[in-house]
Amino acid sequence: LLEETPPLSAKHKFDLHLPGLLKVLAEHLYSSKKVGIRELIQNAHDSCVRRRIEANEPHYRPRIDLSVDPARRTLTIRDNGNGLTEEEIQTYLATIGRGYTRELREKLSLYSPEEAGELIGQFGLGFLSAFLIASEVTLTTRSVSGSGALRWHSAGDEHYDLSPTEHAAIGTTVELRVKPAASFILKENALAGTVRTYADFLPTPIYVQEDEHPINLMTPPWEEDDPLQAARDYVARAFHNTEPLAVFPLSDWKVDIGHDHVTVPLKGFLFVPPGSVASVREFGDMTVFIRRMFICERERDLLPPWARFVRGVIECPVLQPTASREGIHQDENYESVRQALEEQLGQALRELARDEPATWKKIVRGHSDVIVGWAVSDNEFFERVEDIVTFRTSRGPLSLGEYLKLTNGTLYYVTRELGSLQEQVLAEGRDVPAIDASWFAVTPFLQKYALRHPDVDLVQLDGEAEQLLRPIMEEPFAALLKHYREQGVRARVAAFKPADVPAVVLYPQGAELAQEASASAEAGDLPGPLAGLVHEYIDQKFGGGEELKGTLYLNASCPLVRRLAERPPNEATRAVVLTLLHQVARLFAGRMLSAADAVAAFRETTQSLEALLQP
Amino acid sequence: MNIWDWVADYQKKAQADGDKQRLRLTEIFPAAWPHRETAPERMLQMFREGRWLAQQLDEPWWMLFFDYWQVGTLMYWMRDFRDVNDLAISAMLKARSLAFAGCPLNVAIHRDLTNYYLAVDALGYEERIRELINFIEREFAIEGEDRYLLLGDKCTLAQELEHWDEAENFALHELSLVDGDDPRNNPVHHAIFTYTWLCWIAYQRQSWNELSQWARVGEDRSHKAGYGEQEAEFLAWQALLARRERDEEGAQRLKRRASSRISRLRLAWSPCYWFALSAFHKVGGELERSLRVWQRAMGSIAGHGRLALECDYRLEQCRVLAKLGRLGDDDVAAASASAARLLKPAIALGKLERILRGDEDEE
Repeated sequence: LLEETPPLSAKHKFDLHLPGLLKVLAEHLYSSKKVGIRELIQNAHDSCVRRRIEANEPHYRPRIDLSVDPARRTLTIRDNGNGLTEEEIQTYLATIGRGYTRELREKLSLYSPEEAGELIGQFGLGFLSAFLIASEVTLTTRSVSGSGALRWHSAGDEHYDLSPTEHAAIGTTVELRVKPAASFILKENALAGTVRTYADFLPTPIYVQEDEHPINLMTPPWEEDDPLQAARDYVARAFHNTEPLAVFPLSDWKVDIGHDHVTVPLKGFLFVPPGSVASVREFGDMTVFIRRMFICERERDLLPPWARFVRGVIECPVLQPTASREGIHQDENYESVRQALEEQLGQALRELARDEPATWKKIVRGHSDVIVGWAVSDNEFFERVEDIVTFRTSRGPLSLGEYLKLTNGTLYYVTRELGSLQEQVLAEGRDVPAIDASWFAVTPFLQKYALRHPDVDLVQLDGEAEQLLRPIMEEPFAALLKHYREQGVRARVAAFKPADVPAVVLYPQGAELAQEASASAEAGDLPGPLAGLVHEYIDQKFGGGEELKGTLYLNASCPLVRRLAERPPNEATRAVVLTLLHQVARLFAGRMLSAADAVAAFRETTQSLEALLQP
Repeated sequence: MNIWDWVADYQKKAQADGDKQRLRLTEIFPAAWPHRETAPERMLQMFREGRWLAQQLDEPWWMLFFDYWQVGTLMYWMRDFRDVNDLAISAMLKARSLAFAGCPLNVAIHRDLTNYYLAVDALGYEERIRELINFIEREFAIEGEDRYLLLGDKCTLAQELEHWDEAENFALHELSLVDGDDPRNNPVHHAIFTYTWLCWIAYQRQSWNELSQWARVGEDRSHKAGYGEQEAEFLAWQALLARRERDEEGAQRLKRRASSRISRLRLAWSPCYWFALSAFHKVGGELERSLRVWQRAMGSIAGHGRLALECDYRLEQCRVLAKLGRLGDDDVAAASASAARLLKPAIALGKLERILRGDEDEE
């Protein structure tokens, strides 16, 4: 027995557990069962290319046919390619990891690189992916070399059957018995959609359910006579009838890689959809084809981060697919392609802005959120969009150029979505619209704009609304102000519009944070050093915190306020009216009020009204 | 659980739910981080967008994360402290509320306040900084990456106070934690910064052999980790050392490498880089160049709220101008005004006085 045991140092051969490998492929390598269809179509295509290359047949017309039979639960893929001999079946079909196509491409690449480029297969794993969707696979083939027809059958275990059979035509037919989990593929529409996704640009015509027209385009848009129109048609076909605002064809591009330049072979196009919504419906993604075979869509790293208003379709042979061919390796080539795309897009946008300003304007307006966000951190891009991009204002969307004509060179903006009504009313009172700057990028954009245009002033209404008020002599209103000041209310008088508004309460910028900090410290929520720090912060920023209570501005333009000052009623009535004005103004401010504060304000209002109703 | 474990769990759930918007929250930091040295303002912008998205999605933890990352971007990469205090206090208040109990960023968020005071006016706020450090140590369990952060704060304070032995002890203690530490605690990142401190300490003590040792090892680590700014700093120290040893060719080569490395970056270069560069020119007798170094340094931080550093740079300018015999009243007035903005101006004013008397003769 000992003699029969091989010595430990001997070479051993790996054994392959096919069901285990298939499970790995199905559950871990490929993310979609549809990939099985892609691999079989690609094998069929490669077989047709091989027949054209290897057999000298001038009248050869390659074709691939797919059909489903829901009753029998079968999917059949038939090609009229060069078929397989028994040796080829043994060497390539049944040897995992060894791909006939890859070996042929490597041979061809030396003397016929164009023909090599037409071949797609690479890893010798593709045929196995048939078992993603099938429980049994039957392959019938007759080689163009003249040997007899063969039938190969496997149920996905370690064994397969190979036997002679009758098969008149040259080529290969693969019949899959579809697993229940892949039943979707037995629907004709699903099959057609899958073929279009993966094989739209394959040059071999593909027919589904014996339709007389091939289902695939065969020629990618960039190889059509009118590539721009073809690209628009393709966008409509593949991107849900999106009518692009602009299409930019791609071409080979020389990029600087530091120590040298390389030319990146690029085909395809970029396009700008009609509109985007920041963070919710953004683009910046590419659909990637390699050797005309679809690899992936929504590839987001190829385009620069600022280009989230752009999409594209790219065919690039230097990109390296992953083993599953559902993604791309992010290697040096990938970086060069990314650089080439960024430079080409930048140039295309510059030219568009120069040559087709109307289209450029449409793009900037359709994608304003995304573009504003990007422009803030890129000076060159900012220059190109600063006067075109539109902002939401209290009078609808306006560009800054249009806006500034209305305001004599000042940008008034509010940063809060809620509670900015008072500021908007004050702005409209001065006959100027307020810009809605609640979107995170708007304030930095406006700040950058003001920095670049020294003649433009910037006023943040929620914090600097005093600038909309006209200072006025206090003396005629001294009695009213005295009343408030005696009650600890910071009060001033100013003239502002609309004159119907008798008073407003304004708070400084950052008041909410300071109030929150102060409340936490006073409630004892902050341990010693933090409480000290907070008090110091409030002292330094808000002069001890008095400002945080807000400042009541009586409106000297309001007839009611003027009447109270010029012809005051009796003291009791005046006190009641002044209390009402104050509480209404606090509620109107919509800021810095806790629920308890609001209830107290309503209570005082009600009590004041009751006092007025006293006989 | 550290923040990245928390994010990974969140990401898995978002993926399982097919929730693309929440998935996007998890994608923003990895997409923003590579911009830290070359386009920090873009990194800030991405964090602002993340904050906005988190608010739309009603995700308070994510809102806090993005606030914290904004503070970090402003302090450590943009080096602009004007809005930091508001953001840092706001983050601290949020982090202390019940909703954030167990938040993995609690220590880091409190520490940002320490760092703010350290960067703005460390001598003026010395007591406040000590109180904060003590408080953080008392309040939280300091483990994982937080150990480095706390030691780093102590080391920085000791450097600002010119307590070099104490600073060195903290730095060496920090280095002792690095070997074999869990990579999730970012030991390499912290080691690189510790080497920069050890170089600075060695330079201040004029311990040239030590400076050489730390600069070489720092260069190696920072190069491997892709920390361009720190690599440039280590190269600049080596250039200074080569010049001191009269290896002019080597010195120029090292300086070129340092310049080439740092000029690619779009951030306000670190003070140590400017000091190393200025010292390089002084050793070579190039006082005009040294003066230009300080003028550029001043320009890079002016108006960014770094009061103590502005004062330091003004004093360095005065020091070089005095050597050139061109120290004018305006320069002295500017330095005095700069000192007057500090909480304890006497120390800076004392240094200025010594420059005016011609008592200073460093390097």
